[in-house]
Amino acid sequence: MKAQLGFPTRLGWLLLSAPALIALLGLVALPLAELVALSLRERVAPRVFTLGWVHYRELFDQPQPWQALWRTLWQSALVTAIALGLAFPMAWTVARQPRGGPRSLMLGLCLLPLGVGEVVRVLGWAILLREAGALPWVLSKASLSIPAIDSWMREAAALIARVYSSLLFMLLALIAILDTVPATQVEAARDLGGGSLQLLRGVLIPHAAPGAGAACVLVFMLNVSNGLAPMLSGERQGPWFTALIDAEFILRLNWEQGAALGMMLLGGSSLVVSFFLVLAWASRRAPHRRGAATP
Amino acid sequence: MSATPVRAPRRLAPASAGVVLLFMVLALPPVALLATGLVDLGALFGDPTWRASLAQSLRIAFCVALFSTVFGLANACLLRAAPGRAKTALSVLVMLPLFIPGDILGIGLLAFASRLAQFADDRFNWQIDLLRPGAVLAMLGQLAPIVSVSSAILGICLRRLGPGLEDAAIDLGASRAGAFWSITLPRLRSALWGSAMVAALLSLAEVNATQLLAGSHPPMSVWMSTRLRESLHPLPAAAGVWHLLVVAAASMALLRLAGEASWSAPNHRPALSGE
Repeated sequence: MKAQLGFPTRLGWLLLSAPALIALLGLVALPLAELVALSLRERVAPRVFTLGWVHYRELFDQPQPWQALWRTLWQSALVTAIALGLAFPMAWTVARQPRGGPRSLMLGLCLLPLGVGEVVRVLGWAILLREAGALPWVLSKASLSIPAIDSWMREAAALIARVYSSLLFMLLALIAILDTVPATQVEAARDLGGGSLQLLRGVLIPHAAPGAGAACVLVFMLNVSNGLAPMLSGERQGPWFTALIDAEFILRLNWEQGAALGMMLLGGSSLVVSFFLVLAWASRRAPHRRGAATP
Repeated sequence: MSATPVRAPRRLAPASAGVVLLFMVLALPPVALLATGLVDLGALFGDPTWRASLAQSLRIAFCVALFSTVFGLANACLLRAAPGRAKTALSVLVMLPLFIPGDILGIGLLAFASRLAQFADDRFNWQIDLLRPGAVLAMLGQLAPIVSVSSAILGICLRRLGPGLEDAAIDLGASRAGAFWSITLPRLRSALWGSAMVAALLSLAEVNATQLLAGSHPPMSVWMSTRLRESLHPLPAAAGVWHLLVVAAASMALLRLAGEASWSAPNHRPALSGE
């Protein structure tokens, strides 16, 4: 019965896979190959190019791209971790609510800012946190305006906006995951005398781990490519990495150098992601072993 | 479905004060926008540059919604038909664009399109304007990650429908294409509308790849982000309010679509019980 739904004919397979092939080749694979080719070519004369490493060598000679890469990667990882920590209790609260009422309100509070996109979210935080914004105004009216706090808030503004956006994505993913925790397991954990901590360690975390891992990778990549939030704090901490790429492509029109920078970002972020995946793969066995050991 | 929902029957589950506070913080930016921008909505619609960017946004969003739904449906069917091993590999491939920074996809597409345009000019002396930065290139740049989202949405809906009715139709002598066309597609209708709406919303909001590809007629998201760099200005806040209202309306419509869909009922009847 089930086999009937397969598409055994060659034409059927071809027709079905054509859109995926077109999209992946035309929009992802070939553009990435073009970037590799661009980054590896050297201009020897007008419109004459040879293969060469000069753009990568230039990267190795400068400290700025490395500093920007380091800052971009570790801040993205930090923000992802904070968002995961904040989103977990929030998502569990939503997942336990009965349908309607408060649950819908909580979902709406998460979905509305998520739907409007990063520009509008950052704009909202700009209204709240910038020098002429609402919060500094409130603080100054309450004569609580201390220069140290003001400058700290300006530094933190980008981080806050980043955590906020990451939290929304993480929350949506975790609600979807924690919604599927079987009630029987939760009740069994309670009946066996488990406290909240045991419920978390024995039931919720093992259940959520694979999906939450995927969500973490997604949120991390969204953070890496989010060049809008840094505008809230200016460039005092140094540029975000995507700003370097955009500058080469738009301002200096040095596409070869920009492509090399792009490859550097892709390599760096893939390294972090694969490190994380290895970590997730290694720790996936732990809860099962623990489960098997306890009678 | 084997897993029963976690939710206790009708009782409000307790929430800690910290969680409630966090949910209130979630509302801060939208509330700030509404407070600042609501009064300027009229001025916003009088602004010709904003109207032009809105028109550009809507054109791009319409095309993205159309293409991503078609591509997403094809991907969902492909994933359903693929045998075990291939299914895993294919689903990784289909989701891949979500895990590549949007900026990199943008510059890659920009460079690739420019090479194609150069090639057409050198070889055939054709001037292909579509390959220069503009609405078409921006649309293509947005399409890659959004097709992944549509594929995921439609894949889930297709799986929830189950193969039962389509199998039955084929057993009764329908062709595969005929069964798909007259049985599966109508039952997927609300899912298709939903995925198109999600794609349009994502397209309206996308900025990373779009700002590289949009050229001299920027859509709304790029228009806003360039004004964000300048100091506070009332019009972007009003545009933010407009966007919030659109998303709120779209969410209501999406909820209704999900409510009337056959695949979203909590314990949907077995596929063969007849409709």
